Amino acid sequence: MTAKSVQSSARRALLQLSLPPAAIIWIAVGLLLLLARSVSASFWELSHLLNVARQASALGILAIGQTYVLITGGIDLSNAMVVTLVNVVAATLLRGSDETLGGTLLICLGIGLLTGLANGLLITRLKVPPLVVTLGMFSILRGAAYVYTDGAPRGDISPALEFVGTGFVGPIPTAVIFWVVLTALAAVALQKTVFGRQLYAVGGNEKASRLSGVPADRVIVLAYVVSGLMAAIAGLILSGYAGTGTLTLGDGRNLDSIAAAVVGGTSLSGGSGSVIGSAGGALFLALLFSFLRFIGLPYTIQLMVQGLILAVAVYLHVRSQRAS
Amino acid sequence: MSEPFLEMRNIVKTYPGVRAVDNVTLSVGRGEIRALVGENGAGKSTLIKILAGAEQADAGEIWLGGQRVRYDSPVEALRLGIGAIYQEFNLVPQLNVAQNIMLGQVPKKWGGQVDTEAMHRRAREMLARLNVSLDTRRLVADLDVAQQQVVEIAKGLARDLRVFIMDEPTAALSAVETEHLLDVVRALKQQGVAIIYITHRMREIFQIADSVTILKDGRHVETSPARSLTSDAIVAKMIGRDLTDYYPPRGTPASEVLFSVRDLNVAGKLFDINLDVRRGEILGIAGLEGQGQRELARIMFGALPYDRGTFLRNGQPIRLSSPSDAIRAGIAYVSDDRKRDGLVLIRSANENIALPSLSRRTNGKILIDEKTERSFVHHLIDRLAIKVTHRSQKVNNLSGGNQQKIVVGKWLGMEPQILIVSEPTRGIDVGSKSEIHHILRDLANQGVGIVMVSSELPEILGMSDRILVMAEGRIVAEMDGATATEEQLMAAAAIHSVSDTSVPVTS
Repeated sequence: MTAKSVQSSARRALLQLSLPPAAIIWIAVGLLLLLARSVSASFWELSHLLNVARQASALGILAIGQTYVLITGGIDLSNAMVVTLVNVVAATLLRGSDETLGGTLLICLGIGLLTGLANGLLITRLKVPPLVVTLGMFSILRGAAYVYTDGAPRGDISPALEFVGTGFVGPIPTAVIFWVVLTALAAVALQKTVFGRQLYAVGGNEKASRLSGVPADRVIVLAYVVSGLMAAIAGLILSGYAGTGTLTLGDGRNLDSIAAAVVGGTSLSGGSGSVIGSAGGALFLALLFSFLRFIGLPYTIQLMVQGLILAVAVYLHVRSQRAS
Repeated sequence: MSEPFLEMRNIVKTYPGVRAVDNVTLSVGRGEIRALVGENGAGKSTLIKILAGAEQADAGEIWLGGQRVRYDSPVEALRLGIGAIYQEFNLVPQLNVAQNIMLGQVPKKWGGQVDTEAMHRRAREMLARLNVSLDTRRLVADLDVAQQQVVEIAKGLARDLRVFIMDEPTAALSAVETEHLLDVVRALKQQGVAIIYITHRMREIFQIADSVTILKDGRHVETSPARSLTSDAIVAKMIGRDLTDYYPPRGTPASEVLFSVRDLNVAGKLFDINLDVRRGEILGIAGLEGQGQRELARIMFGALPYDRGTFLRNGQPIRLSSPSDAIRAGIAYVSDDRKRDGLVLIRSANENIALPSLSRRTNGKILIDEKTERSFVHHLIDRLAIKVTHRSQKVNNLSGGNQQKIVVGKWLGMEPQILIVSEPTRGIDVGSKSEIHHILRDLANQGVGIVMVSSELPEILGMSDRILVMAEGRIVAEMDGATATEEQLMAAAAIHSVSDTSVPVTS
């Protein structure tokens, strides 16, 4: 083989080595860490990084469900208010003790499940666009949270939930363990089960999927149910961290979860995406916020940076789609 | 024949892999009605799209009234007085009848406001010329196909065209409406409009055309006065082509009936359809485009609702209300639109091929067994000679022929007993076409019953063991595939197409 042919085949190999979007975000996470270290060594401390991961975990869990929904070509704006409703309900029912923990958990997961079921059924049966359905559900849940608390949330979270929100197992924050396990389960379900394959197919071409015998409606409903359940779990973890009931716990988390998924390479037009990428996206956003706070940028500027990052991520994604 | 008013000189139009219009010259005089005939794919549509500005010719000139004209959009063509009405309507469903008829030339009041009253008045005048009473305030979305066709024609009338192109304007009309339309065409002729009239209905040609231009395979065959031609002569010149394509030898179908349709009816679309599909046969369903074949294929797969009818699988009645029902009964369907109905383009070859048989292969287990799936997919890729760099390659990067093989492949994985294919080789290259034909014949030889809907006569004649001809939603003839000729097929498909009166061709 001549030098030239080696060179050209090497170039071909490089060209063919197109990184999946999920890998790109993890590289971005690594670069951000290196940047942070060059600014300050204390940012690099393990305890600080684990704290950032803990902050990312609720967002990461919301992003799992959001990713499922985005893969179908839909969107879930209601997950933020599932978080809030779960929070005020849990605080009210628990009143600071673990006595009613089992029942409370069931009720909170039930809220998530029923919200997802309602979203999914309205979207598939009545053919109302997902944006409208989940925005409406957002309002309904917000109203429900106000009615339930009379505008003044009472009660406290129990010790067990506080452990989930703020505790550690060894050096690892409990919330991070929940996040990692749920991400692993969701990734396996997406890549290795019939449901996962059908989810991608329905999002890529619903009509062709139906004509291939895929139960498209059931698949879509299930995606919203997963999103509702993830929102309920995230709501419980955040409740444990907050310690009390508050009517603003979920605010902004719907858009954050979309941002995490999209930064992680999930397409808004459906048919592609991964929860590993979304996990990277959630970690990236949490690191970025922590870093921006660390160097003393005000919250308002942080928001603008987040918007910019999101726009750049979508642009890069669209461009790579066009290139392939 | 009068002085040439419109001239198309040496028009050439090439699409990737096919020369759609090959050096065609055509001239039409004022007040002349020119019938333009040819098989599907003969180049008629491309030619008139070029004339109407919807497509640009690669070479050639257009002359109007002795002057060379150049334009590259339908709007500019309209400004020159050249307009077309197409089979596919260019109507805006959300607007009402008057708004559609007057689209692009809305009458204005002082200050730029729409003169609604004048708009409706003028729209009513156009409809009156067609002898049609239709409320101009109705939304086009609420009209049936025949009414939409009338609106499309009225829209053309409202534009005071000098060259009026009509692409099968009567395809959706009843006998009475057709007569009115022909009267209007004659009136336009009196006003000196040059008319190009595309139709598959021989009867209409002899009713109104002054002259006939015959196209075949993108080439001009002949232009003659209508008086000097007979319908037999026109048909012979339209098709007169050797069956040069190589088709696999026919098999020996069994007499065992796998699947039957009984008394299937869909209001306005399909009437009293009865058919049997036998083990190991290729049953060709022929006809001009849009005679209900496509709907029939989809209904047999449970993908379209129907009004009345029963389906028998091995003699037992079955329900076909969803594709899943059909798949469970061993029926598979390859759509005529693979990109819309057949493939998830942004996913891999592997995922597409595996999709319909996923649940069956996992057999209740939670996880997909990657190893068996890999060998399953590789086996199909080899069997159909699908050219992919890797099974994980995205389907939208593949050629049309390879995409079509993937659609066929994903169904082969289900081991169907009945395979319904609709236009199986549309838009794919000659090599892949022949490969698909061989795959279909191999399947039939293995005992699969194949229903093949095709509007390509050579394909129907080359592949079918038995042929059913459809016209206007009915099965109008059955022929033996080995002995049928293009002439017989064309005659069967065309004669019956004058509404339901079955008037024989005047020759």
